[in-house]
Amino acid sequence: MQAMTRPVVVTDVPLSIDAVVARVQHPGAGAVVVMIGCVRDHTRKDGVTVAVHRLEYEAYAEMAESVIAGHCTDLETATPGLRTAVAHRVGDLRPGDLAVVVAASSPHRAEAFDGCRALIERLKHDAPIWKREYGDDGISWVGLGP
Amino acid sequence: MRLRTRYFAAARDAVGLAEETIDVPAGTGTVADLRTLLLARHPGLARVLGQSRLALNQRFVVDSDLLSAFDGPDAELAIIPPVAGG
Repeated sequence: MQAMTRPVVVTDVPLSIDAVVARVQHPGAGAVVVMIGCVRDHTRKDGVTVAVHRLEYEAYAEMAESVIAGHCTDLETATPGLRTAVAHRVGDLRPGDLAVVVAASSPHRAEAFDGCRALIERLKHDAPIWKREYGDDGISWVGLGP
Repeated sequence: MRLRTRYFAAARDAVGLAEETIDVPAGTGTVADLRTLLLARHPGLARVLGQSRLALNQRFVVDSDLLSAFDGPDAELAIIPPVAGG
């Protein structure tokens, strides 16, 4: 992943933590908080741990970028001094691969921690991104009910 | 009204299409009517559609929203099954 030309990117190339951090780092930022979401090699279903071999991520990329960018703007407006950036991966990922990098900076740490946490929670709630899980128990869309 | 209609993830699997163009008949006034139209067109979509949100022109809409607000040459509908980003 190359330098980010905009604060939110959905991409099919491997993520660069440095590129996302660079987007929020500046001389006034005394704190930078980064949340890295990685593909996990297991999941729990009905109280049982199941091995996961890969995840296939897909996105409605244009809308995902605009939804996430809207959250960034909302949070930055609510918290002066906060600066945020997000890169989300799509495609075929294996355990350990980076799925999402969220960075938040602020003059002081409290706002950076809170902003980073709020942004990943909002992203998970409504960014149009999906993952198909390939595990020991078969193939399924994560989050889809019966 | 003509809608470029995009099916993602489980919706694409259920329909067997990533996208299609739908000519929306006159009298289809709301997003709820649009859901009825989608079900008539793709009965196999029922289970997934019941769990899905819809987006028009890349904005989430609710069943009571009027379609007329979204009409235009590039109008785009998307079926958004439960999301799982991050």
